[in-house]
Amino acid sequence: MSPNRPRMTKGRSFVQQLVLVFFLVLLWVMLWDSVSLLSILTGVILALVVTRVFYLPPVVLSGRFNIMHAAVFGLWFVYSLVHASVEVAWFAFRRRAVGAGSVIACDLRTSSDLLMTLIADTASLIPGSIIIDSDRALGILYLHVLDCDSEEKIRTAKAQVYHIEELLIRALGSHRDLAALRAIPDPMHQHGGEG
Amino acid sequence: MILDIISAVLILLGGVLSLAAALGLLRFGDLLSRMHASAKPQVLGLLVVALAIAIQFPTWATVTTLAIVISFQLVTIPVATHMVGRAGYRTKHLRRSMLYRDELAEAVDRAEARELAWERQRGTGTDHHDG
Repeated sequence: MSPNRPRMTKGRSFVQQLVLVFFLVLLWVMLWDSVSLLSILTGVILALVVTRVFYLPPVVLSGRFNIMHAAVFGLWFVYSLVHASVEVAWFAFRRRAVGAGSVIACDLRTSSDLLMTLIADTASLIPGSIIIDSDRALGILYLHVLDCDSEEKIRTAKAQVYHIEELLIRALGSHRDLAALRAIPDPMHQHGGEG
Repeated sequence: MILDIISAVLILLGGVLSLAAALGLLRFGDLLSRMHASAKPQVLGLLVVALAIAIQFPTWATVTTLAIVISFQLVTIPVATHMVGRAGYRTKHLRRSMLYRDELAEAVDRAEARELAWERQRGTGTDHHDG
C-alpha cells in the first residue's frame, strides 16, 4: 500500500478487508468448481492483488444486522420479483399498448450511501421501475415507472420504494436510520402529498 | 419423472419470460419503457432456467456456477439499466407524450431557476454550463 493515499485506507478495518478477501476467494473457488490447496492458494494471491489494484472506497457499514428482517426482505423481494415480472410480461403480451410512464422523485429517509445503493438496486431489479438519477446530497432517487399514468399509480410506485427502504433499514440500517424511520413513518404525507 | 416435469415447466416459463422481454422491446413506446422490457422479465426467466438446471444436475459444481451466474446478473442489471436510462434521459432521447409526470424535470427546472437568480444577484450571467 503506497503511503500517498492514507485517506482511502482510513475507516476500513482489517476485518472488513478480510471479509472482502474471503468472498473473492470463495468466488474463485466456485469458478474452478474444486476446493483444493492450489485453487485456494491462487485465490488468496489473486484476491490480494485485486484488492490492491482495483481499490474501492471503503463501504461504511452500519454495524447492525438483523437476520429476521433480512429474511423478510428476501422473501418480499422474491415475491415482488415474480409478481412484477408477470405484470411486465403481461404488458408485453396484451393487445392494448402500454401507457405513459412517469419519472418520480423519492425523498429517502436514510442518508447512508450503502442503503441508498441497495434501495436503488432493489428498485431496479423489481420490474416496473428503473433508476434514472440520484441526488446523493439530498438523498433523492429519481425512478422511471412503467405504465404509470395516474396519480393513484404514482402513489403506489412511491409507496413501493418507501417500503423497500423500510425493509432495508430494519434489516441493516444504522440506529440513526431507524430513528429517521420512526420520525417519518409515512413519507407520502410528509410534504402535503407532493414531492 | 416428477423432477423432469418440474424442470421442463420451469424452462418453458423461462422461455416465455424471455419472449415477453423481446416482445416488450418491440412494442413499448419509448426508450425508458423499453429498458423495463429488456432487463426485467428476463431476470426471473434466467432464475427459473437456472433452477431447472440445478434440479437436473444437483451437484456442487453446477449449483455454485449457477449461483455465480445469478449473482453477477443481479449485480450488473441495475447498473446497466441505470446507465442507459440516465444517458437516454440526459440526452433527451425520450418521448414527452410517453411521460405522464416528470418530477426530475421539475427538480432540474427549480435548480436552474435558483442558479439563474443567484447569478443575476451576483451580476454575472455569462458562464453557463449544463449539468
